[in-house]
Amino acid sequence: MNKKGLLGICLLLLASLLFAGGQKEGGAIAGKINVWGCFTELQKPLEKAVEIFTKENPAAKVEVLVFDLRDFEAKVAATAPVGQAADVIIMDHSLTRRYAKAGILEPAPAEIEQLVKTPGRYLTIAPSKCSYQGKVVGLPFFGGGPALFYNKDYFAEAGLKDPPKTVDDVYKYAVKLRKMDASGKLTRAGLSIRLTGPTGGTEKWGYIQNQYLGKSVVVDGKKDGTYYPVLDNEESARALQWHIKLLHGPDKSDDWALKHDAEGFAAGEVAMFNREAWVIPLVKEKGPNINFDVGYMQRDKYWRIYDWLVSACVPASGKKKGAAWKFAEVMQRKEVMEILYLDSGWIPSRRDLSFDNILAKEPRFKTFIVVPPGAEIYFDSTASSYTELWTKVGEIIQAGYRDAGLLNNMAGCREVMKKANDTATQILKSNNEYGE
Amino acid sequence: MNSFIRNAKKNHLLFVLCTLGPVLLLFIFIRIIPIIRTAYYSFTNYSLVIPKPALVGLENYKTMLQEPNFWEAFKNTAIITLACVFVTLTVALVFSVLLRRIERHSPIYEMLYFIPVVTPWVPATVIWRWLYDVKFGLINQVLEQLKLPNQAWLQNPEQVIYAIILVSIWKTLGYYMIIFSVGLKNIPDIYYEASYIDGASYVKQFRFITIPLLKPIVLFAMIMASIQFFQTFTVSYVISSEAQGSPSYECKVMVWEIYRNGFNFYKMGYASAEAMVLLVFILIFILIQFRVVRYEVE
Repeated sequence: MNKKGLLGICLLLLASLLFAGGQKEGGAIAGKINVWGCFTELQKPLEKAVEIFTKENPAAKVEVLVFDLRDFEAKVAATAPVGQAADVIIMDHSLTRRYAKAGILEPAPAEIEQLVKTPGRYLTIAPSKCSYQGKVVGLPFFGGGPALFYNKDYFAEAGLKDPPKTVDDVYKYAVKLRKMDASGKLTRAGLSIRLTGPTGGTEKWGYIQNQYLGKSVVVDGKKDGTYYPVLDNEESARALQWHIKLLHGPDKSDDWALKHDAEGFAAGEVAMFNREAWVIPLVKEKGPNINFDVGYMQRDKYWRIYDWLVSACVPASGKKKGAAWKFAEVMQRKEVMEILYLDSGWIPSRRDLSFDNILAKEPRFKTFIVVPPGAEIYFDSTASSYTELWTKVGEIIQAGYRDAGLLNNMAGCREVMKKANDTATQILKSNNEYGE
Repeated sequence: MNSFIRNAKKNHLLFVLCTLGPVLLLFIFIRIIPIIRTAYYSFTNYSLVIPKPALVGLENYKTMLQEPNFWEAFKNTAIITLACVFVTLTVALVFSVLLRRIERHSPIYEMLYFIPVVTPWVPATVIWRWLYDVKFGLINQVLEQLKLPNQAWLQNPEQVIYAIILVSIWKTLGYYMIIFSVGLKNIPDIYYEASYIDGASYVKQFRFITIPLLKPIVLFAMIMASIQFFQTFTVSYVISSEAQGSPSYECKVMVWEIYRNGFNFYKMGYASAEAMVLLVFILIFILIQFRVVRYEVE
């Protein structure tokens, strides 16, 4: 064979190799995509999604990174606007709206939009929470509001049987369930209140305020994208006073020098507290001897249960948007949702799947998915200034908690709530989002 | 090439430009330009989610002066800086003087005190977070043994700042001890021997020999420590980070306030204004230190 012939064969071989290398196997996806999650407990369900995705797309590689919520928010804030974020970002509905408004998120393709809008597939309110101006920008992944965790042994000790059903009952139960040592120092909280961490502080104070007022901290204005606060009223002041009475004076049932929240509950220092379903696996792991059950959110004039939604979103600047949406779709599979449910405790967004096997294993999850008749689900505002607003209002409320002078002082509580209302109004105005 | 080197040697300016130019360019690129851009952004409503910021004049500065969070952060930062600079440098100086007296064993102690310095800030703070824990923390366990009430070190706004100061001092003490030890080793023994013969006590030796001859080192340490503590962030951030839903009280400091406004609230323009104020304040503070201490050194 002459030199030209040999060169020709070599070129042909090289071309066929190149062609074969660039070909997607059976139309499958090739290359690497990055996924960022807003909670560390998402690691295992996402690993399952990666396993399925890479099995179906052997040429694809997926890197998953999960963070604490606040670190996650900062990371997305620093990278998404300059097109450096991951291909799939798993974030809550307030962030989804914020980034969609800035044009940072890619509207979902028709097949994803179809999924989101399929009746009965998700919670009824979900499609609106993962859409912006009518366009779907996220695929719902999980959510779930709070319920009352209570220690059954402490209940038995205090002669209590069933969980409290009303806001007044919770108060009375808290006083009965608290424990003090010989010196009168509180050694067990009857009800653990969110005393630090202002963003969550507003949300958790709002659990009680909602039952009095029937409205959330901030409500939608008449014009789309506008909001106004509803904090300067008697009901909000009552909610503040309710907390203050559990922190100071004769009914004091919680203190800063106790462990709080899930950590305190698992350590046996807390008799009751309101939290989401993720507490179940955590307490089982960290407090295996804690004998606990879960009851519904307490009611008053209104019965409102908080909920929220976390969706998988794809940035508009992403280079592998098709693959990213495919991965988001894989996250919806039952195998992934089951791990999400059992391992992280977060409630899967899918309502068309049966999780009876999980509920049989862990019946306490049922309280988080069955909405009791008469209760209304509410979501926090989607204002783009959500974090700032909730944080600064929370700082005012938690400063109020520390002020013993507000005990039985409704006028003082009204002043605190007026200050919170003014702060919220000012934040909304400075973000051009204020409107009644 | 040879003629270029000859010309460069003859022309001093060209030589300086060739040797220091690349470094200077790099410095301008990674330091000066970001500062200029930050100064520019401080006059805009730049937000991470608003692509095109508009000029708003002095609006960010006006808002900042009326914002209680800014003043709280400023006050906390000033307290932390003053307390940490004073205590760290005083204790470091005393320890290094004492170590000089046990010169044979001093490397062992220096190494021990230096361990916190080489420990990264985050794990070091996490350790302290556990020490301060209301139920399981060593500090409260000791208080319990002494029949004293548990303290909510990290939940009480009045106490959390002292918790932060203690961690910061513990973390940086070793570094300044080494700096002072090096300075002390450079003071000739002959001065001490002469004063000893003249009957000077340890206190007088310290006052009239050690302190005056150590002043340039003290100036350096004061400036470095002031810059370091004015920029404190990690301790406050890690100590108040959330653990299973029970975070600590957020002790606001300037850098955290900048971070929070920039990355949590997306108000980059406002955060830039805060950054500029911090920069100017540190510069003024350092200049005052230079003026006061350098004058005495001269």
